[in-house]
Amino acid sequence: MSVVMIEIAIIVFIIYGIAYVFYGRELLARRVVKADPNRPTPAIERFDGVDYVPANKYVLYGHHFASIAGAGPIVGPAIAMAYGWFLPLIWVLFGNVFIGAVHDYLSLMASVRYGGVSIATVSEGLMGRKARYIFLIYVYAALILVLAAFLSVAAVIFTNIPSAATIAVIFMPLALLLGLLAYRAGMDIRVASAISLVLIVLGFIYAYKVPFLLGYKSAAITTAIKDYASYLHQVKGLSMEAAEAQAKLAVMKAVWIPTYHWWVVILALYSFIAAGLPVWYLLQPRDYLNAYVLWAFVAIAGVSSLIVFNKPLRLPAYTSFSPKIFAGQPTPFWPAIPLIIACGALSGFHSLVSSGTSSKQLANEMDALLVGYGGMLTEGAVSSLAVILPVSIAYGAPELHGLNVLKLNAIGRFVTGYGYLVGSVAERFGGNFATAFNVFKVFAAIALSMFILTTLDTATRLARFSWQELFDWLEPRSPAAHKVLTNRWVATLIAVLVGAAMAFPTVVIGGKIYGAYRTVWPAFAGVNQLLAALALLTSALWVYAALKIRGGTAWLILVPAFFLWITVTIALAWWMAVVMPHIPPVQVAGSGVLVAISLALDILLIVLFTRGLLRASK
Amino acid sequence: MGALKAREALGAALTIVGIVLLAYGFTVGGLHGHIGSSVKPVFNKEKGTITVEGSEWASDSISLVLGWFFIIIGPALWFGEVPTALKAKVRR
Repeated sequence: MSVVMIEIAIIVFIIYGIAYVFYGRELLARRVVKADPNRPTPAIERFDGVDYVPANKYVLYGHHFASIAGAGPIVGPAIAMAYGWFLPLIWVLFGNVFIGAVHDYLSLMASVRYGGVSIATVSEGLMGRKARYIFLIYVYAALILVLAAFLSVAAVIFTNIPSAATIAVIFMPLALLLGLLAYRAGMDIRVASAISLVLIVLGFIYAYKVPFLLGYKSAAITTAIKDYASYLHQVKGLSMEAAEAQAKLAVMKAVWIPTYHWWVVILALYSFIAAGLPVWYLLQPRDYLNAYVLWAFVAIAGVSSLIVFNKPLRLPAYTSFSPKIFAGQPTPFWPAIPLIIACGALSGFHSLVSSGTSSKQLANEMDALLVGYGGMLTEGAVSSLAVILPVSIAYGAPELHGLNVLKLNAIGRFVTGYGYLVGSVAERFGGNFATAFNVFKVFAAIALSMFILTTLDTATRLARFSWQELFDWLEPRSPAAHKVLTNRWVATLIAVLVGAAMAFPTVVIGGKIYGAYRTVWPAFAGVNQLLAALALLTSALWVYAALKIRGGTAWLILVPAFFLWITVTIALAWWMAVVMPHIPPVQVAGSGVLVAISLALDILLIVLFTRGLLRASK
Repeated sequence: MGALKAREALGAALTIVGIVLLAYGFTVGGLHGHIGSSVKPVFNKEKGTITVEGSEWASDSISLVLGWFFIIIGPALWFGEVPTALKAKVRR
């Protein structure tokens, strides 16, 4: 008996609905945190017009969702389809409800109750000063890595999909226009939004038709590759396969790298400016508009799932517990799954957004449920409705003429699955499958690039916050040095320069060109998920020690926190033992050192956590 | 006061120039069917190397990139103060 689309879609909707009302609102917000609408938030008490600025809850939800989304909810589940659709879906649903959304919501509320500081600084009151600085250095390093990765990924997307660059250029001025109309001209937000949204739809149409080229154009390179390959084959005696690979690499180095470099420079300059500007000016209106695009993206997937309700999930529900994923090695679902699926189920980066930009903009404690818990559930919906289900129905679909989606890379799987889902809807209404398929493939790629661009400047801003918190000890000793070092433009510049220095140089790994950050990137999944485990442990300790929650409710938070910590710690050890020997040599040193440092800090912080827990239980 | 006026004037100038540059870039791009230009890699058989013909930049792409940054920075200088509506919200 085959499972059809509608059955899974309904289960997803029901689980998220129940989780939001009963687990999020009744348990976490009412019984654990006791959110109080009358308690002033840091956005009000510490208002500075730059970072501490209250935001409308839907605006903040848009910011939070767009910032945490990045590429994670899409890429991870697309890779995890190698297990079949059942195990990734279970991990996304239950990881999301019991770990990820709890982690995001509690990090947000803990930060709010501590004046808007990061989760690392929250740990000082619970685990001591040492824990705080270790945690902060770790967080800063992780953020620089995120910044480098997103600079590089955004530059790659703009180079390869020039329409995504066009919409980015259109989108930012429209966001500014919305902000100025709403905040300055006092225009009703609904009218201002309607004007901006109409312009964005027109912008999408323009971007689809008019790509933004900075040199590289994929259609222009085939002849040169062919000529060079036949020369290498005939004159140099290389096999045709080797000649083609070498020719392609040489041509890409000549034309692709310069375009990539230009985009890295432009995007680095953009993130420097965007991360230093007041949040009400660019970040809030941009992310508010972004939320519409992202909602449209999820809603199209959700509604399409209902329309093509009887499409069977052709991908097997279960393929293997240990398919070959990392470096071609058998990758067991447990403990490796958090290293594969991050944002769709849980991600450490989210705690930094929650306790970084979101906690400084929360206007009312009651808004935190929608922003923190709801934002994370929406990410799970992206993973399940826009990735897992579409890829599962696209697998082996006759309309794709024998294309095996599992042979594509993660982004290819996602855009193909999404395009196929919407194309099927068009076909059902008598439209042209191929046209809708191609248009929505580009739409999916553009939506992905918008997630990435938002995450880029949020990560830069968060790196600035961490840097500023890291040097608070300097203020009483040398106020002048502290003032210079923590100046918002200086702190932002340092983060951007280090991030760009890791994204600008290129390396060749396995015959493909990447930003230099890729030499340490294999370790990032582990670093990020360890951060999630430490943030959740800190939040759980806050609930236990500061909020004095005991009994079954406390265990509901402590058990998932310990489960995550154990899973991630074992996964990191497994990665070092099994995967590291098989990754390209250029990646071994950087990634190995990063994972080894992570494991050492992991042990140190768990000792400090245990001490804090024992102290609290006395 | 003088510095503030100068900042506002600079912001206004950047904003206006930014709008003009964006309008030019989008119009020219729309007419060409693409913004900017593409380079063409050519295999040189005598030297056995790849050479590149054409330029990565065109007038419309330069206009758009400059205009984009001007339009992001300009209004921030021009209307740099925190909006009154926001201050009132915090006071409430």
